Amino acid sequence: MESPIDKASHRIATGAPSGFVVSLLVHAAAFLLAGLLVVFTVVQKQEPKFVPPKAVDRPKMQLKRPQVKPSKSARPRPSNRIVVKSQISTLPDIQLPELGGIGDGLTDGLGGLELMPDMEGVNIYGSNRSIGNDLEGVYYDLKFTRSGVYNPMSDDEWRILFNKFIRNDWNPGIFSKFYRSPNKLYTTCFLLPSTVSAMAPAAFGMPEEMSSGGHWIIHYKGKLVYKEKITFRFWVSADDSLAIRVDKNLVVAASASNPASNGNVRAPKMFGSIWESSSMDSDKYVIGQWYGVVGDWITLEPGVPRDMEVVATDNLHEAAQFIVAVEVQGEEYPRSKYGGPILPIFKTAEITRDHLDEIYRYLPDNEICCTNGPVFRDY
Amino acid sequence: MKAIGYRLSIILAAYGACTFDAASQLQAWTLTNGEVVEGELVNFFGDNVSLKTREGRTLQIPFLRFTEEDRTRLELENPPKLDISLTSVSEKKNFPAGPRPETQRPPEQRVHYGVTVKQTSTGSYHHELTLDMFIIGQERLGDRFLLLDHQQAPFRLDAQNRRIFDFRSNREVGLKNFTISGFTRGEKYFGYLAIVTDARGKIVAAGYSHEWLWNNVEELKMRGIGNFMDESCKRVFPTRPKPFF
Repeated sequence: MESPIDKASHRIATGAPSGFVVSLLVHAAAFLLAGLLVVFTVVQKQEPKFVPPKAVDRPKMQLKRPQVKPSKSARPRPSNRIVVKSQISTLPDIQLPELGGIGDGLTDGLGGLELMPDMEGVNIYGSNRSIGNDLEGVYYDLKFTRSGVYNPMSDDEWRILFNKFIRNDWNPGIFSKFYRSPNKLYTTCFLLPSTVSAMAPAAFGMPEEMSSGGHWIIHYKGKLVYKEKITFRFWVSADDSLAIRVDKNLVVAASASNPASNGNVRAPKMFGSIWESSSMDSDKYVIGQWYGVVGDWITLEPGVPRDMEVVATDNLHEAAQFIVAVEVQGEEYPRSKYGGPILPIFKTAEITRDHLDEIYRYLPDNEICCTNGPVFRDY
Repeated sequence: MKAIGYRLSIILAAYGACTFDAASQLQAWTLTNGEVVEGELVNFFGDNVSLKTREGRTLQIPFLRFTEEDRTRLELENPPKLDISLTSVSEKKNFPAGPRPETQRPPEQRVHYGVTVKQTSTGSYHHELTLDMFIIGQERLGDRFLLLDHQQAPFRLDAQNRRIFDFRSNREVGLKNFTISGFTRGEKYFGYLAIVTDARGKIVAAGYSHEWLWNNVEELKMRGIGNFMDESCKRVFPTRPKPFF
């Protein structure tokens, strides 16, 4: 009988040749792979390395620390603007007829490239935001003490006080005992057609219990400048009184007078004898509701600003009116029904459409021109 | 303070029909099973939607069978019927007398205008609406009109607010009436226009006092508060006073 061991030995002896073949195959594959690796090895190209040159010792400059004094002023200094005069010949101003009843064609709110006053808070006394080349207005109410206590005065006292202001270098300290509105307004023109005097305190934000008309004073300050040389004069129609001075020189002073009143009887009471018009056209032609008073000729050099102040006041009547127009020397103007020139209003910016609406509500047509004429600014 | 209710509105219930006018054209409607049905929206009431096919057949499809997007579209195409009426709260403001009677500031009528929008149809509308309110005044000196107030306000009508939207403008309109140098000045209330639009900006209801305001609404929208205008709502200058002499 065959033993299990013999059977196993027999089985082993049978498998030996195939295992050898397998081993041979494995070894052959290994040699082939090794050969491939040896033949196809990629040679890496070495990048040349940059070696910087040695630094050269150079002598250093001894710099001094600049001595800078910090400015205490918070405002930036004004920059000098170089104005290049255009070589193109300019045409004379064309006097266009006033557009009435037509909505389009005029500056509507923010227009063009110019910075227009923001319409929010605009009224005919001014805007609550400045555009830079406007005049700043401060409101004093002579019916109230500095602390707001009602303390009215007579017309004579009012005239004396106003006259004192005019004669004392326009010192606003004269009104220090009276109530001053905390709000200021900024105006680019003086065109207040005949309207309720009590609208002035309302315009300046006076408390409603203090907003009655009459015996108030508005003092505007700003700069007068024009881009070219210009000679012109103001025409002023006022109720009750308005005066303008340029570089502290009184150039026009007007009080209410019209065909219904007895000549120009009030001006001497308001301004005394400190100024009188030299023009034969003064107090001859109605503008709005009152005679226009012709001021002195003023010459502006191109781009040279001059100090300008305007003071306006009203008596104890229902209405107030202030119209400041300009007549440029040598210009011809169309005539109103009263025979006087239809002059352009004084302005430091184009009148916006919204502003025109407010003006036209109270201003008759064909007496003053709001759209033409010079714009007093340096550009 | 006196509350005054004006019912000068015109209920554009027919405006619901106008929305159908806009939908009176074949539109593609997608159902939740992916099927697309082409039809003209005829009616949407309760949970049922009626569509009229190109062949003239009327299909009744449950609302919930439409996709969410088309359910929104159906709701927007079927706005609620609204009643619009003007309201106002006014007081007369008198100012203290000055040293003389003529220096007293003229009294003013100070008004806050508003609009009440009330849903008159049944059913819920789950989308935001927008109210656009214009208040028109007229100058006393002449016959020009001016925009006294213009306000916009979004709102929803739901069970919580009993499907009523009560809007009041924050702007206080001051109406003046005075005489200066023999001329009457100031302004007075003239009329109003109130428009309700849906989330798409489509007008779903309007109320107005004068038809020419409704007819010139696009021009009116371009006016700013304080602008003067004529009967075509084009901007004009105010009437100028006559010369004093």
